[in-house]
Amino acid sequence: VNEEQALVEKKAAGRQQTSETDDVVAGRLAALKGQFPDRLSPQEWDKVRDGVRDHREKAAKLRAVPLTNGDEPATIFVVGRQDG
Amino acid sequence: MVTSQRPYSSLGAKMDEMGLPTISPDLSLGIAELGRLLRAGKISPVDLAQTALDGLEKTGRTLNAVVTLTPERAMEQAKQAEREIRSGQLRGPLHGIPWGAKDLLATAGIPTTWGAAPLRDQRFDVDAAVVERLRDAGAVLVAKHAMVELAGGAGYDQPDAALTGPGRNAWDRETWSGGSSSGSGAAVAAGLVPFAIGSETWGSITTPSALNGITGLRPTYGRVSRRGAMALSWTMDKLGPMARSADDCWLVLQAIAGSDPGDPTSVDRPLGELRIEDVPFRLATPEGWTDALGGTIAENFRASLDVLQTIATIEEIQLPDLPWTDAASLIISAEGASALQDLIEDGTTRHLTAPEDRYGLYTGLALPAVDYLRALRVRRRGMWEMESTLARFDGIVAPTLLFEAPPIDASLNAYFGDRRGPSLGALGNLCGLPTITIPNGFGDRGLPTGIEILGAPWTEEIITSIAIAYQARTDWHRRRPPA
Repeated sequence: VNEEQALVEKKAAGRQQTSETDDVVAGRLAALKGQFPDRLSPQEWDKVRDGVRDHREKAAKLRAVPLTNGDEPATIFVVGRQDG
Repeated sequence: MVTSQRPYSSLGAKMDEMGLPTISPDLSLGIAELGRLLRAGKISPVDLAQTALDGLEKTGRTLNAVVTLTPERAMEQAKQAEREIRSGQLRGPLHGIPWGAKDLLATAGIPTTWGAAPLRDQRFDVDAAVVERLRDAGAVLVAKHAMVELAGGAGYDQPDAALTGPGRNAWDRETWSGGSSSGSGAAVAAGLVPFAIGSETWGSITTPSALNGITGLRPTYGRVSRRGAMALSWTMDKLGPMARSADDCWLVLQAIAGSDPGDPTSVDRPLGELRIEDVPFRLATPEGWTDALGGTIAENFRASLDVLQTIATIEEIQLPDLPWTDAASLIISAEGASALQDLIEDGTTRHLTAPEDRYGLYTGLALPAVDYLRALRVRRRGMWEMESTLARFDGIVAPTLLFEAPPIDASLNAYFGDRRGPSLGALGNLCGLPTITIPNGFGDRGLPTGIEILGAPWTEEIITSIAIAYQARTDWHRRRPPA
């Protein structure tokens, strides 16, 4: 019974997560459409939605990597002009 | 004195009216041998440049490997090289050697299209740093090579994603020459230029090198200045040589490496000395990968390991388990959207060749900053873990790709499908590590396959030494495509 209940809860959590992802993806897509209202066809926007969703899923995998507050990004920052 | 051990007849020798041997330049001989013939006065830089220009016009165009020929600059540089060599003013091993630039390197007064149809008339006033350095080394620029539009940053899904049409593979013209340095790979494979410069954000040197059966060296991030090169991803873009052999790649890298005030990421760190005799090398190979492979890719890889075992110890290891591809994807997407933001916003990207490239960059505009930064933080973790992993080894060896060249009309995502498999590409590029890919045989369809040797940061001399030692024991890099 406990296993069944855990499975039900897991499915419910999955549905909730999917719903949240859908909302987030829809929000980001709406922002893009607002910026470029006449730029793409409906079919192309569907592809962009797939891409935004893919980004969301990739970001979730990255969030699963344990990092501490002190784990800095590996990025470029050089003080001062280097070319004189 | 000619130092070549090969008889003139094998080099296409003829006798001139004085009874002296003259040699029809054969550009597939490679840099080292051509250089010897040049310095010996047996061939001329002008003839070499003209041969390259003729071949690129006749054959390079049919491979869709050429955007622009540069005959005026080529002849000017070739004549200068000829004068200097005759008078004993030798600049080094590239003096008088023709080469081609991927068309994302700025060249003053010559179109630089980034492979994109809407940018076919784009011009810059100055040369890229790499172009300057090769000019100073006496090399002769003969062409701007075709490439996937915007270096593939828009997410193309087909070979036909370039201003010049799909890059055709010299081994089978109905297959792709790879991307995004398509023309660089095909032109070297076809013997049209002894070397070319490619760029790699994620796979753009290694893929066309492997698919075309040539040698490609992706240097450590920061080893070669990117000033004047199209930016797709500031933290992942690298420039490197594509040539017939590891020896030749090394000669080119020596000419183009070094810090440059115009690229703040370039590093003032001298290249080491080759260590060809420093055997046995210590190699690792990812555990379980060989078992997961099938067909001739697996057979060729095992045969390569047999050769490498004569010069190296080989240990199976577990690679750090991190979401390498996810981090690399998000970084390129975010940086690409920013680097190309003007082209997205003014609608230029709507005129790209591949339909999927016309909307592919938009997703990067919607990526939250925290997700991008998370990817950069995971990258640093990955760099440290790879540093630890590589501490005990001179390199990690693995198949460069798990497939032969795709059909020219393929959907790449459909073709790659389950062929993608494990790869050193994402982690190597994410961590800025150097790698060298070398040909190691032919696959089920008779097309080239390759292996790569990934090294720790700033160890190009070690991985190149291993590649040279491998190529001294094999002849895959000497194989040439059908005429």
